Amino acid sequence: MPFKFVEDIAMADVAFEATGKTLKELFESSASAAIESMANPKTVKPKIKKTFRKKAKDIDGLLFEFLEELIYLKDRFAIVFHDVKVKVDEEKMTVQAVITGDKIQPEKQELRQDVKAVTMHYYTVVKRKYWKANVVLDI
Amino acid sequence: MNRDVPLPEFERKGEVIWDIPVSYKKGMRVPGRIYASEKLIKSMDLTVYDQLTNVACLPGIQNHALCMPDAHSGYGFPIGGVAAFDPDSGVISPGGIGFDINCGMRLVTTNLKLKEVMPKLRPLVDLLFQQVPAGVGCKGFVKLTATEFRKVMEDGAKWCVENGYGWDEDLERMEDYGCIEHADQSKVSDRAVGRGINQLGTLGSGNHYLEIQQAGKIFDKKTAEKLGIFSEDQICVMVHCGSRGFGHQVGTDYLKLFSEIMPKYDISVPDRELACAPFKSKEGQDYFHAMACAANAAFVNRQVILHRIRECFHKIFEKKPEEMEMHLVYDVAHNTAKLEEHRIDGRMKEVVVHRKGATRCFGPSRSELAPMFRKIGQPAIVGGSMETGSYLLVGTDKSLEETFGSTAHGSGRTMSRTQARNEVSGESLLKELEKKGIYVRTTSYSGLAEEAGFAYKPISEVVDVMDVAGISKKVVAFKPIGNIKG
Repeated sequence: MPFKFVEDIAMADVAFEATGKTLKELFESSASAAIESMANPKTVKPKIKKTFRKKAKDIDGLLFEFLEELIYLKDRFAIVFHDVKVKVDEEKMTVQAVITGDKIQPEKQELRQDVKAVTMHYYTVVKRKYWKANVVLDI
Repeated sequence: MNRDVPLPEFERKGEVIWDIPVSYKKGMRVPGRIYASEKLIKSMDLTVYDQLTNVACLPGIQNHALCMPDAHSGYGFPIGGVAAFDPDSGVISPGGIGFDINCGMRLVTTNLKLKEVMPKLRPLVDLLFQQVPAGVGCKGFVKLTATEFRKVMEDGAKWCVENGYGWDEDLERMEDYGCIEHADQSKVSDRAVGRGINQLGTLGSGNHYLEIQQAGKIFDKKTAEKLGIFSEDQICVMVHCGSRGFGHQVGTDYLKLFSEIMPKYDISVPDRELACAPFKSKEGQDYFHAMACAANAAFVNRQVILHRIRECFHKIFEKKPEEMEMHLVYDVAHNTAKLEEHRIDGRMKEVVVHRKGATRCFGPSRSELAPMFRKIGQPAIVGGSMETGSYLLVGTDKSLEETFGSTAHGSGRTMSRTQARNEVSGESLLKELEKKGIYVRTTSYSGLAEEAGFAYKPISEVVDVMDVAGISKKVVAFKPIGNIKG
């Protein structure tokens, strides 16, 4: 399922709407939006692999924690991302993620914005026919 | 951007002052007040009014919720927002400060003239681009252990001077002497330290930059000379950046905490990004002390960058920085919350002043200023787009009566990042800028396009509003000639 960047929400920042038939799809499409904001994933080789697990009280909090971890890893290890795969357990309210990426190399990668944070501005995660999340990233 | 926000019926209180009365929205405790020309207020996006009046609903707010003329919609608070809260009945909100705690500006003089610098501009900008890392997740050269980093966050910029990254005189030329004393590293997470430990001396991205500028026009010769600017072909350097991943994580940690604890304090907010805690609560105080660490990190970051700038000039011009009179003019914060004394209902009292995309510009009477500024007022550096230039202002005592001693911080966006990218490619903008005599290096062409001059308000109109209002006075306008864009 796709994501799209939304223009009409945050003038100086990046807003996106991500969708998914399942929570796995929602999390992966949200991750795609976040990692595309930082660098073109097609220009990032999958040389480094990291895994992490997050737990929260609800889906809303779980997606926030998950996206926030991507931004943390970007700064902590100076990496940008190629791909993210997840397993979401709605009962235990956990997400298990495997990310691939590479050390930041401006001469080899198409770098974009240094995302500072996931904001709670107009932040929503809802399920109707399918899952949908609205997220604003601080740039 | 306008999302069903009704246009307020403004009460015009002066040539550039527009009030939104408390009747505009249920729950407003004070009026909203916007500083703008007629032209600027007509072009302001309506979400600003919604966000400003949301701020006016927060507990303990004093006098007015304020917006500077460069205001645009942000998250929670508008960018360009100023709000003061009673420390006993009021709140502190990370959304009123921004994730980039103590994002700020720094201006450095040289005694070099345009004709001396132009022949060496390209190697100078290229060397600075190499020595001051910019862009996504960039790492700096300062290597510290986690324990050392935590101490630096409490010591602020004096650590830099003690360790060879600055001159003694630099400290008195920074807001709060480059160190907020109530910083308490025990209130900061390991996660924040891990995120920021390798980033001292880096610009980041977004609208952050390092710029070589020519002092284009001097408005107030006497004040300019006191600040070290003597002629219109003098070369200066301006830096815009903040506390990097460390500050961003402090903001994130406490935003999450405050979202959880608001029900405990019976606080509800119309936008989750306005999450807040009573200032005197344990959580509120913990954030206040952690935020001071992040503010100190930003002072250190910009000081390490100044050290690199001096090194680069030394290498290119083969003169000592002292010989080139590379003095810091000032370092100002524009994303902070501070306990300050202001006049409320006719008497002086302590309030928690939030400035989010707004610059402190105290008048000469304030004892917080170093003695050298007590006759001219606090310098305020207002950064424009990389095409339109920037300004050096000084604060007035009138600002203390009207805006809690605050003025604008930049041009203010009028166009989203996506829209700017659709209008121009980074590659063609780079060529256009070069034709205009501005040599730019960047790590991101898309990021460069997003910062095109047409995406911002005209900066001269912004600073004119605050000049007309008597809040801050124009001293020097600067023209860019070289830019490093994150």
